[in-house]
Amino acid sequence: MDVVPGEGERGGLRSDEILARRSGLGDRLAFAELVGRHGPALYRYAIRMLDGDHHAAEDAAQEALTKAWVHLGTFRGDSSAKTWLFRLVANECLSARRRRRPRPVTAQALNQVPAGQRSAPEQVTLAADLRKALDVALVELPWRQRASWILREVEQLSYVEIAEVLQTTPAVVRGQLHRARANLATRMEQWR
Amino acid sequence: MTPDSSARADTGSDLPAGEVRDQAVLRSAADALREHVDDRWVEVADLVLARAIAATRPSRPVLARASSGAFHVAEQVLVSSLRASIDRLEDCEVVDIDIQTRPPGRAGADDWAGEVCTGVLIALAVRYGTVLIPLADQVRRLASERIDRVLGHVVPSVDVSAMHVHVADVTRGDPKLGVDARQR
Repeated sequence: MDVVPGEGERGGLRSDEILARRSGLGDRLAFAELVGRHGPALYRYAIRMLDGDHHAAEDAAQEALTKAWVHLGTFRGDSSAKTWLFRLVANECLSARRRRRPRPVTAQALNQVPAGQRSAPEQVTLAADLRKALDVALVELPWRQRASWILREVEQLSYVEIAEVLQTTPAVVRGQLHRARANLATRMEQWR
Repeated sequence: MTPDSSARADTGSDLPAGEVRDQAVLRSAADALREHVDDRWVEVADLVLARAIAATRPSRPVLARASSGAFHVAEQVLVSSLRASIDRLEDCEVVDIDIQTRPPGRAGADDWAGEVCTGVLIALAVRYGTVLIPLADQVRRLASERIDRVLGHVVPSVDVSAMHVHVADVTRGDPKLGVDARQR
């Protein structure tokens, strides 16, 4: 398919649904805008679901976005474009996890996550340390708890949307989130 | 008053103080993660996108004709080209394009591959207040010109009267920006 002159020339902030529809009609710049909008979150999700493996996360994002481009022509908007993209990435992450061998948990990881040094420049350092501590704590969570927590607390999807992404029910999501919060609170205790 | 009940009073929450602090820590951690863009994504984003849009969509072949003879064009190419052409019109947004075809009528040198385009269904969203009949005429004219340019002089030619302009949505704001943009 050739790039057609005049694609994506319109200014203004377009909705996800418009971008998805236009992508389905072959507008590559609209798809680039959609990926620019959600790509960082999709990758953020993938890398945390794949225990920090950058190569695996990149492959998962690549496969998911390729499938998105190929199938956007048949996307009818039954769910939001964001939910649909997360579902594609979640499926790729699950496939990648099934393919690889389990990684042993280290003794260090089983200890509580140490609190960050609260020195200047306080805010930036603290946020970075807190994020790193969270990443360590997330690795210890079972897959569904981890996925539910990230999608709810970080990506701010609704219970219904998370259920669509993980192909389960909102009630199951609620239970997984409750356990995830309790587990993370224990792991992050030093940060109180 | 216990320490926990004291904390409940201070925070206005029904949760014990420990849980309130846990929630605050997790909320801060989630905020920090949400604002963070992984360096690796920044490095590979363009490559990932380029590879994704290089993938070929499944598409029917549509019969086309050049001076050198018949050839076929992927339906997706025709759809993409029609969308780009109509995109230039103000106050309307293409919602869907359906290429209507019939199977090749006979086996022969001119009918060797692909289905014959017989018409196009174009669904539009238009801004409230747009006069529809002139807009529909413009869309038909643009579509007809574009079909001639992409498919060449196909026999039988695509009948302009076979094209149908269907108004699928009416918006108060710019239809090219969508629902989210209208609500902002």
